[in-house]
Amino acid sequence: MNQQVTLEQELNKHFHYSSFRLGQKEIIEDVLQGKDVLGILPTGSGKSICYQLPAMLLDGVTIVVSPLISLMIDQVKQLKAIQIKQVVALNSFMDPSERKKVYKNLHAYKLIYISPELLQQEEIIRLLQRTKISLFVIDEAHCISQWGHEFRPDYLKLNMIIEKLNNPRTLALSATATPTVQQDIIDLLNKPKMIKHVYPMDRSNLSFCIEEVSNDQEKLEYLTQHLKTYHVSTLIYFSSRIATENIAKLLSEKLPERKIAFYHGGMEQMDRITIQQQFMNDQLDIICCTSAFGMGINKGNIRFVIHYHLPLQLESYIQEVGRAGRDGKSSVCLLLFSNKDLFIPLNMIKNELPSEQILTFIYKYLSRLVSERKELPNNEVEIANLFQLNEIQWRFLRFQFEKHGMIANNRINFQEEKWKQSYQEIKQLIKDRTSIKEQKLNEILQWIHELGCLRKNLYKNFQPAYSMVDDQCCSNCGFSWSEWNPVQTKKAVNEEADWESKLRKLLLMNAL
Amino acid sequence: MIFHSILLECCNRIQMERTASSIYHLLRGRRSIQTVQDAHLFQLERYFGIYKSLTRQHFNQTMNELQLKGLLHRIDTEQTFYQTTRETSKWIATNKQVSFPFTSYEGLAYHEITDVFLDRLVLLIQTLTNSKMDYFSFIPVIDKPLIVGWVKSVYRRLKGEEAKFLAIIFQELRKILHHFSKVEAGIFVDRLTGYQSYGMSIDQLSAKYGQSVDDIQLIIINLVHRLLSTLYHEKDNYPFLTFIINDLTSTTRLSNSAFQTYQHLQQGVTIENIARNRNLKINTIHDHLIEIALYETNFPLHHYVNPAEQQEILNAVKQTSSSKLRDIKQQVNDSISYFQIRLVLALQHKQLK
Ligand SMILES: [Zn+2]
Repeated sequence: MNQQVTLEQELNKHFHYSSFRLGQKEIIEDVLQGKDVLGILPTGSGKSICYQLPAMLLDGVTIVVSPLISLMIDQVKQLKAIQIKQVVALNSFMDPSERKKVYKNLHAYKLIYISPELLQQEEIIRLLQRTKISLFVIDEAHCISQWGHEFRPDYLKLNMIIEKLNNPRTLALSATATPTVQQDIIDLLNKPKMIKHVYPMDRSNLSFCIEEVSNDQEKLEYLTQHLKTYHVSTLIYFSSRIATENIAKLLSEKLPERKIAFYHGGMEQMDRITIQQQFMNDQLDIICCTSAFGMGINKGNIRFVIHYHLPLQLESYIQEVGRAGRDGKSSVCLLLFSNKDLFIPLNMIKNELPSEQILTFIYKYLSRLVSERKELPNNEVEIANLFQLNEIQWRFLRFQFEKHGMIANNRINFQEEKWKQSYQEIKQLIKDRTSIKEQKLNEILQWIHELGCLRKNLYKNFQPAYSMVDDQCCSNCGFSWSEWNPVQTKKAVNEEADWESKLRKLLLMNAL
Repeated sequence: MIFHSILLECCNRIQMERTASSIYHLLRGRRSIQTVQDAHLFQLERYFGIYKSLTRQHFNQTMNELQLKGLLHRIDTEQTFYQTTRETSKWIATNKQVSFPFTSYEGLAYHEITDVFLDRLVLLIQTLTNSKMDYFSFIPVIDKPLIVGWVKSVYRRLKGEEAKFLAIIFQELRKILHHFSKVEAGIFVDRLTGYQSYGMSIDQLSAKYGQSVDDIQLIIINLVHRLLSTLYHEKDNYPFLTFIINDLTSTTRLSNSAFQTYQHLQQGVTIENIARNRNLKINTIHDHLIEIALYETNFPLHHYVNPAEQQEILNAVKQTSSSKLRDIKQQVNDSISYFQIRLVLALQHKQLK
């Protein structure tokens, strides 16, 4: 009992929250007792507190492996903003001199975020072996599983790394993992005694709507009409960067009274922060974005999440709609679908992994390098360019080549029989991956054409039951726009002041 | 319009003398001796490094557009060259009045401190305004470690007197921005971030002011260059803004490696010994010397090229009326090296400026 009081006090002391959210405390208690834990918590439920609080309380360093650099950097910024300073995000984009400085002082940190790629480097492993690691966290743990929607080969090596670090207690976290993926995580980490904490991801305040249209023109009209009616904080998801820009522009023309911007991973860092913070600050009404937006962002009053394009799988759809209505108030998730959209996800799936043709070409190229007694170029980007691969494709292949002993530290080891065999295996693997993806796409197509309850069918693979609905359930159970009446954003006073008054207001604040 | 004008002006000067890539490197401010020298040679110093975020793809695309408009003529040999056409000068003449006055660029002089100045100012304003409101959980819009470090150290000194310093910044910015057009000042102010008010992104500015994304960035750079030049000439009128760039002196314009060479030279170490000590090629040290020659006001040219040799090189330049090193080398005595020619050329064009 005594400990419970302390835990809540600690939470308040470090993070200024007065109470735990669903699941956090149970996971933290087990972690503090030294157990290995698998935690499945829905997006927006404060997953990160599950390791951030233990990191503050445990003696030694907590390592967090996270697949997305932008996500790590965001988290570090947010922690620093609440005065937690002994945190750092290590990644390969960091300035080398900066990284060296951090390396010299690893023990001084409470929380080290690190990318799985960097964890493959001998140097950092050696340094970590000399540091006291109190907790090893795998964020987005579904990346470990071939059956997970975001398989990342580097994650497969994490079990070896945990071993090298002398088996610290391990916490694996994910927002979306089916029972199959959960078992896969436990097996691949080789931690059969892992304690599972699985919490339902359905949200009683979300209504689901699917609207089938015949083309993009109709999508735009539908959007315009509803965004005109609803002046609320809105996210619109797209599958391409260029589409976010184009539609943001078109919508701005049609809805001059709304403040609309786009956001994607190709933008300059300063603009990304700016747009994100404008939205957090309610300076923007609508953001047209790719899936790069929203990770690690906690905004309570997002009322409307729209998918302009088909998501690639139910898992990411659940994550993205999970950003709506975190304050518990009634919010709507709308998916616009047209049959013509189908080629977009099919293409994306095709491009995710290298084609058979490219694979053959690369094998030939490697053989030639061997006969010329040459090594692979040092620069990853150069290699990717050479083979006309994107970075993810090359990382996938590199991992496979290393696994099959074909390359080690840029040196190529040629053995004809082995190479023939590995070629077949990699080819098969690509086929398997692609068919998993196609299967995922099929699931979502099935869901879209579902006649039964959308909510029930969306969550059925993830949890056995779902909670009572607050408001309207879904467009199949019956949904009427006229019955959705969220509180509207107050109209901003149109303050098109001249630059001098703006500067005065910005810098002097009170003395307008 | 601004971006197009600048590209055309570059092509107009360079023509077939250099490849299209050289323009790309010039605008991005590539730290190579070739690029710096080209800037002098073609009198394009002011555009050096004014568009550092320009991507190769976007550059190629824009050059293509200009070609399609008939403003450029593309020539592909082993590499790509662009020539201006009869339409080009007409276009430049007509558009010079309509597009922004883009006469303030001083790229070579300011390219290194432009971003530093702007980033420091933006982050300092964000920090002071938030701190004044006792709000410390804001997300900084700039996260470059060097900028953050500087702002932190300054903030420590200003803490407690936020209002006073914000008032000073306001007075100075107001005074200096009055030198600019309403649109320029508007863009600058809209970009700033304060307490619970985040500045506009480049795309938002582009939509608001009806200028292309390229031009918005170029307008900002142009404004900062003019602002910096005002600060250098009227230090006393803008003590606080001047303070922001006080520590950025001219030797910081040298690349790190060239600066080390510079220090060795000042201690009287020979080129050969510098190369050996630093484990670098002689050629690299030569590159450093040329870089130093471009910045150093009293560069001792006679140490490296005697007056007779200097004259011979200058004559060859006149005769060939070319700036290609190979052409010049053929006209001079074999004992004169490429390094010596490059050094003379660098200084000659510096003087022309
Ligand atoms: Zn339903």
